[in-house]
Amino acid sequence: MTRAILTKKKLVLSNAHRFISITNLSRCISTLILAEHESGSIKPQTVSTVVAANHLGESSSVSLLLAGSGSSLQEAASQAASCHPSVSEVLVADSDRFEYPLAEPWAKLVDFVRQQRDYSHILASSSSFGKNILPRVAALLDVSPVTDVVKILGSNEFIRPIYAGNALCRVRYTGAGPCVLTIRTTSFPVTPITESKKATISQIDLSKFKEDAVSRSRYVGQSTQDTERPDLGSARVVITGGRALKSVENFKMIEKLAEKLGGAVGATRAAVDAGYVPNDLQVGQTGKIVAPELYMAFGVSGAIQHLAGIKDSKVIVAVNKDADAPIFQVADYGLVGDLFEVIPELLEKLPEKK
Amino acid sequence: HQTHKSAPLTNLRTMKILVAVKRVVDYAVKIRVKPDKTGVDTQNVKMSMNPFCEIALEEALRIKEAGFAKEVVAVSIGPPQCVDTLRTGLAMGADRGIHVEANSSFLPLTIAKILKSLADVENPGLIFLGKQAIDDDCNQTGQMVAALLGWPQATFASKVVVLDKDKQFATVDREVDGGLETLSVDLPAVITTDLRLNQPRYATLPNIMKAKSKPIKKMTLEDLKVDIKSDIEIVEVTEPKKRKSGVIVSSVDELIDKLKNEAHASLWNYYRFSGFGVDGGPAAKKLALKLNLANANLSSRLWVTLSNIEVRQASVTIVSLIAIGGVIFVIRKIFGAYLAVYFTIVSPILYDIYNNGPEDRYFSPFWIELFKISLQLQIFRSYKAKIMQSMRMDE
Repeated sequence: MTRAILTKKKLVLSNAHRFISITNLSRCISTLILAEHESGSIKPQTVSTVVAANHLGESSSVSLLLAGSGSSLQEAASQAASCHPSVSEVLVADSDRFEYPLAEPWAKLVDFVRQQRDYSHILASSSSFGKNILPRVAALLDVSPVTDVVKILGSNEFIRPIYAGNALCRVRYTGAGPCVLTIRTTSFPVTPITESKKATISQIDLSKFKEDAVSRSRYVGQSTQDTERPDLGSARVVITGGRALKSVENFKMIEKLAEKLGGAVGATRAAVDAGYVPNDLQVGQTGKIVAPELYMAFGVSGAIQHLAGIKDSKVIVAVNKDADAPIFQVADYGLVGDLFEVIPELLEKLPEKK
Repeated sequence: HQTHKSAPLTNLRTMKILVAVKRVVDYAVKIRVKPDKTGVDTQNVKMSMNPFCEIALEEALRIKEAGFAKEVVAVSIGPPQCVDTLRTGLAMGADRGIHVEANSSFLPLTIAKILKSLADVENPGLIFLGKQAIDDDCNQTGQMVAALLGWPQATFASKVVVLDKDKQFATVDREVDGGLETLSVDLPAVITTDLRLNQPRYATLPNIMKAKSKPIKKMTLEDLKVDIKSDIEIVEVTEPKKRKSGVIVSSVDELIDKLKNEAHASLWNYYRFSGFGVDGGPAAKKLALKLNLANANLSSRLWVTLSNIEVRQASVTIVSLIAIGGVIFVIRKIFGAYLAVYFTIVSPILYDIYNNGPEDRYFSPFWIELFKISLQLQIFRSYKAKIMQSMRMDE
């Protein structure tokens, strides 16, 4: 009889222990996402980051932080409120200080917002904006960030690429502070949204926000290409040219092919260095990472650093005069030939897009 | 945390530039993941200075040669072999080196804290780092050093211009997603370098010889009073999934043929329907127009309004129902007939029958489509009947 009671007690205790560990697992996840916006709307990278935030765990609340000034900010905020059903609130910081995305005031703003409410995770996309600001935020919070996350395995475990994507590193964040992440958005595609939910929009009170007046940075200007071409980072078809194109004029062939297929134009580092195209078309380890349905590379040798940017493409097609070019080892379809003959032939023979 | 307030520089010409350089696996090496998944195999593998760090050092040297700085100090943090990397830096032209003895598994935050402590000691006017190391690809250290020091940062620099001694700021062109952005940063500042900033020089033989006599100071974490931060642990390192090996085609025709037939099905469907996209794509937009039109017609004539039809759901439903209908029609004529009726209602919407007359181009294709499909279904049915017959004959 006593033995039965003793075993019963043991059972109760072990169950209690299990209950405690379960509650630890489901601790509330509240995420703050640094949103990027332009001309009154949220950039698609931010929506991908929201999708990523959903992978962190159940019962997570997602807040978007928008900073800027003027009417385009307020427009972006109202668009952000319905950009994804997971967004529970939109925080808006309206001030001239945030007119341009400078790292110093933005990082201070994130710290300011975090001091008012505890977030378990702080996210941004792995764009030049996120990569510039988030590590600064992490250092202000004295935590180690995890950058360029391609897979989320739990609230504290992530996978990120190293050695130009030739190895994948699985890391676990064991710190006490908020988990700071930048997300590689090509790994978190946005699925079409069925329900629309409008999140609350609240203006942040910046009266107590103080900025370092002594040493600062100032925005001077920018030179961006204003094109109607689809954005390289999210295009479904990407046509890339390498140094073999030899001139800016010849690159127009690539542009024509891209237009025919409704795709974006990319370039290798060599082509950008040679001045055939501007730098924002560079695809690779230190350029843009793309994951299109179709990636066509013309005159691209296939250096490790370039391949790092295209590994997640569904179909890779390569055209190169050199049969030993490394690109043929990753291409699904390779054609050994002169691109100056192949591209016109393709332009002629490819069916018209309906 | 405390923001570091540095003394204002009185004379740019006495400015010191601190450059952090990292010893990494050479960029051309094809790395191998260790079988025990603890990391990448770096034994007997060629090591060099991180290419971005070379660019950082080169820029610092150019600023000194232009007369805006007095001294370039190279710093490397890691195991004893880092001294080789420092010697290369000294051979390129750095004046002295500092080696901080450390475990090579330090996180960027710890490295940033070490650099901050060094900056407190050396008081540089500029700190240059490469934007990322090609081994861990973190792209964090420069930004973190700037935060810890409270200095402005200019990352991914593709051009740096330091103005003269009166104006203590630098104008930096940065490579960003949209193109180039120009910032002006007050000195002291942290700058991380991108690929196109400059072409690093080769160390000439006389400089290599001179480098042997340049001082390299050894320091430890205790000297710098830095606590190691280890809030990230590496669980495992694996190889990514290998792509299936591809084929070499012999002509453009073959290429187009393969793309059409073999490549991922959605690719050519994308071509035809321009993908579904987030809102359903152009095909769905057209459908939405037609649905709305049909809805309007119905409501005006029958005083009945269909509730708001979610376009994407509608198109998916239509396609699947046609498929199911076809299957059921083959098996059981009656059920198939009901679904064929549904199909007859839906196709007119798709082909705009309500609004077009016989002269319109969609009119005849619609009837031809309908005829073709019913013909195909009849053929399938007859085949099925034949099979049933032969089965009965076997009994």
